[in-house]
Amino acid sequence: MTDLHARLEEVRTTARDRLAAADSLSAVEALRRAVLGRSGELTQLLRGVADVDAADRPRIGQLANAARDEIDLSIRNRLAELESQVLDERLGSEGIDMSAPGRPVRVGHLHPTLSVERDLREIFHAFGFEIFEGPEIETEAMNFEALNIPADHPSRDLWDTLYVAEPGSDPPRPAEDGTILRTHTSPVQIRAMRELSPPIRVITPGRCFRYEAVDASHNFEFFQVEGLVVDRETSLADLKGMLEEFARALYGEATGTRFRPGYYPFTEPSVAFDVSCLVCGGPGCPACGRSGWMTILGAGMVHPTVLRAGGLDPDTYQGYAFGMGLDRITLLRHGIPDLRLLMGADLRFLSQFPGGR
Amino acid sequence: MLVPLSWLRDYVDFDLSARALAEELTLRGMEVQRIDVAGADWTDVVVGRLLSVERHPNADKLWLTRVEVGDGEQLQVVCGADNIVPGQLVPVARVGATLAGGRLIERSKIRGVASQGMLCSAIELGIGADAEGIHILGTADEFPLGADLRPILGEVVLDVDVKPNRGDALSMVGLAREIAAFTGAPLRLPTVSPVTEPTADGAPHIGLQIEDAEACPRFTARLFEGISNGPSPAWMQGRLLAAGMRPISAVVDVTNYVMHELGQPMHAYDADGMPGGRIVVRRARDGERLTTIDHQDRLLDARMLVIADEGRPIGLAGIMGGEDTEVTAVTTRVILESAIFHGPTIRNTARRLGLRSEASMRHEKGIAHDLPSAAGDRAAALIVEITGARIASSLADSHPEMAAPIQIDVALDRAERLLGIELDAEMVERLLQPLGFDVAPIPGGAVRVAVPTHRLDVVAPEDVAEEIARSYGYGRIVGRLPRPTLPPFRPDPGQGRHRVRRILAGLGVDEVVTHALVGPADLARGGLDPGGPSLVRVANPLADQHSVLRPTMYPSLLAALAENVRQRRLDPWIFEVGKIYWAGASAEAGAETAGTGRFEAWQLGVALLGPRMPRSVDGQPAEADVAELKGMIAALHASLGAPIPAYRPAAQARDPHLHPGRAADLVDGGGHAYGTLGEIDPRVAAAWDLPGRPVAANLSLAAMFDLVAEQIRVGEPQAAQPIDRDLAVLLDEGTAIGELLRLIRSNGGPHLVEARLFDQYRGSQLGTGKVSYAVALRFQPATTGDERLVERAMKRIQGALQHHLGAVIR
Repeated sequence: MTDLHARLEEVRTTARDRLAAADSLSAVEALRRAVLGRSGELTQLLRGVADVDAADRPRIGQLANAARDEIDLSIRNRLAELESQVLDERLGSEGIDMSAPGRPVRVGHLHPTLSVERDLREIFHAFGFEIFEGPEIETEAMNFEALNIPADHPSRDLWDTLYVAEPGSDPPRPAEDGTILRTHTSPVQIRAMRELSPPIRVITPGRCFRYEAVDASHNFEFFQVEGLVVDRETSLADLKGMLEEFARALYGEATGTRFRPGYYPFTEPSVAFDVSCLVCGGPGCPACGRSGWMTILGAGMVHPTVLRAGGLDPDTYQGYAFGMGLDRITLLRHGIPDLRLLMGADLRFLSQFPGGR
Repeated sequence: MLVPLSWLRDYVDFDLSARALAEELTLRGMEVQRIDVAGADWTDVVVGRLLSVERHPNADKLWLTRVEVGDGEQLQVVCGADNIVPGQLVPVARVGATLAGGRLIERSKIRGVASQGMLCSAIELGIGADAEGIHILGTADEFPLGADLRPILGEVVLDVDVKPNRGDALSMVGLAREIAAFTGAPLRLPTVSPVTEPTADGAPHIGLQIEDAEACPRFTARLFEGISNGPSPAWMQGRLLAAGMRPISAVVDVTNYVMHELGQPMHAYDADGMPGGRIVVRRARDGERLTTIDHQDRLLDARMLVIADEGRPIGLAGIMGGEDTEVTAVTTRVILESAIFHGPTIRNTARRLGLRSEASMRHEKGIAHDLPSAAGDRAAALIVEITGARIASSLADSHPEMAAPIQIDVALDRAERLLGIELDAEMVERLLQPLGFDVAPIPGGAVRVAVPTHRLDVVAPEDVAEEIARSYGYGRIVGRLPRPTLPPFRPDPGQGRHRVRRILAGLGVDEVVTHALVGPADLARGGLDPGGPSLVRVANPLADQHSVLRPTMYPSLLAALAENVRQRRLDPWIFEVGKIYWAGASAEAGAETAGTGRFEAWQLGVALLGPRMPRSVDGQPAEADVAELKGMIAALHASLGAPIPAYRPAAQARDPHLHPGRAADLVDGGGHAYGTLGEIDPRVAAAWDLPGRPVAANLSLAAMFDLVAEQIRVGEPQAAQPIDRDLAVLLDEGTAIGELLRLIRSNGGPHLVEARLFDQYRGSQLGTGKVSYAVALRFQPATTGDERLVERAMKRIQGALQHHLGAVIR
């Protein structure tokens, strides 16, 4: 009995020492087999417990089991320790240069003018406007006459026109049916009045064309957004309030605004609307002609002739309209020096505008 | 209009700085676009007298001059202008002077000869547009030798944008009237000394014959004799220069001066060129000709209004006179015309002849009926005073009678409703009186407003309302927030387009916006007929390369690629959301038209050139090809929630931009084509100077949006494990992969959720003309391990492939 007890103690001690000396997973594994394996030292001893006196057997059995549990736990701990060491070594050896850039992913960019158009759609949508679009190839009747701009009227000078050619004419001459490329999106206002019924609150974004020599601030194709509100009670004061809100929505809370007389044949009274200079903020600089103000849109109360052209009774309804050039707003927003950059495909220029906005 | 402030001060006093005045005018609708300070931005320019003018010893085109500049001081100055002779008074910029635009004058040597300053032209002094010659000064009375020129020539000039409806404000007096209205200062009209006319008996009388009274509502004329037509006085020349007019001679300068002063255009005819002495105002006859004073021979027609004598036209009414009757330095007898012509007629003629002038512009905008005689008197007095002429006829006047002023009844509540300002009759009177309107209350809460004769633009109550608002001040109107009466909700028709833009940008493609107007050469490069009957052409293009509305996106896309390639950006991937245009019948979904027989429709164009990625440590990436483009189109459809299109080879009826073997139509589930796609034909690519093998697509946005499911209905994900099977088939070369996949999908049953081609193989052991494809299939049964369902589906697929394609299942 004592013999068995002493041998148990010896196995336990030597296992502890041998474990401390085992410095690899395979050495630990070999130790486990040598001690706890089917024919391992401890396993052999445990078999001897059966031969012990019945009186001593529980105590010896208890001791033997405790020894086995202790050795097993030590071995597992040692294994975990060694595994962790091995992993650490591997991780340490597989470092990469984290300063290197990532694999490139192509990033597309969105055109700034159309992004401004999108912003205006969202701003006016929030003000309860719906968006109404119309054709770019228009009739003179819609582009001019319906808007109170008769033929040979001096105000036509404000809109130099590109005429669609009569089919088959050579040299080309203006089409006999008066087809033109729209010079503004205003004819869409007439279409909106004819199609919708008051209260009307629409904006009409789109491409326009003019017979205009190209320079840093003019192009013969450009984008406009116009707005139209028609209701029973709609005054110049409503127009002013709307435009002031719009300017703050587009340019920020601190934007100063100026509301002054303008001239358009399709509005009476007519309005020119200025915002405080986006470059200097007011004191005056070359960008604002030293005035401190920048004109961003024209507006006014819809002329009775125009309401009638839209099929509405000017004795019942009145309304206001406003219009602005998207290209100019885009130039001002980004400090773009030359309008011509906007109508083209120069990716050196266009790649500066994020595609996710 | 250029407005020199000193001239303006003749008619009204104002105690405002130039900038404050500009601000006030702008706030009243007369926008001041620029404040020029001619004379304030140069220094040390003095009056000099030319003592000698000799050829420069070393240069044929230069002169060597000596000028005295006061106190006996003499300078040697080299000069290049040809209009100088000894004795003239000239502006001399001394060494150290700064000229307009900041140019500094330094002591210099020009072709080896020292120059101690510079003689100045009008443009160098910022007082006129004339850059040709030296600005010759007038007499020593006005320009004392050695005097600083700044206070003499210097002038603050406002550039005022007078709107087309305010012809009455296109003059010094017109603007002064506005200023008087808002400052409260009195308006001083120019004093006209009484015109001494000859007694009626025996005096010559100018016969007038107005054939078209509608085109000429008033015509006045007066004969002058004994004219000595030298240069006009310096003060008049200075003002004309500052207002942007070139001085010519005393008589012509007086007409221009009075036009700027009062707004009445005038014309002076040399009476010796009009033997008949009679004036006829009539339409030109078709084919009639007139040589105008700019020496142009002009062909006239019956839409043009002319001034004629007995037999022939002597001037284009309101636009330009004829050469035969031009007033020159030797003219002694002059007929002075001061008239009103029909604006639209003048405008039409001026535009067609390309002859817009200060005079025609004023006729276009309208002239008050009482102005011709008043201005005629003013001009007569000046001509008599300056040229020593005598008036040799009574005033011939076609329509001297004045119409009663227009009266407009304005309902106050209506004006309030329009303006959002509370009004009463007294307030309206207070606001309008200074502008020359008479206001009287009438029963029913209205006022009767008498319009001053010069305000031709005020004809309706809304016009009066605008005057009220202008006088009240737009700035004082209190803005109201949008009121809550809302129109019914309608979706933004541009929303789909915006989604497409965002998706494509996310897929790595750059957006461009290009001209809708392209050129015949652009179309020809792509194999399109630039004379095609369905093209929409512009009659008056600015340039040939912008004369046709694009019938497809391809020319725009290829031009955009080419623009970038020229800038050494060799891998542009671009897209444009824009319209195409055509004439004829509308075959296109979502086509818009104004009812003109011309149509337009929104399109998406995509063009890819070069690899997705630049070369990197991962190696050389593949160039974009048709498969890349198809993948992108598929991703776009998937992102929008539209079914992926099928591709139908389009060898014969393909778009001519596309490679005959690499062109396809995009086809929806119903078999309708709604776009094209493929590799650009190498001949087309070469015509655009494009390297590599660009690929491009053009599709109808409306058709694609029609495919988008309106509602997305979904079921719960199946709990059962999916079952994967691979299928390998041997097919004849040339069997369309699209057909293979279509047969698999249509026979796979409802549980087939994915069929993806993952391998293709050609090899000698397969036999010639054979190709092997491997397709990965995934089934999603309702219960786990339902192999029988999968086996049945596989049998159906295999059977269909054997039957339709002669496939050998491997």
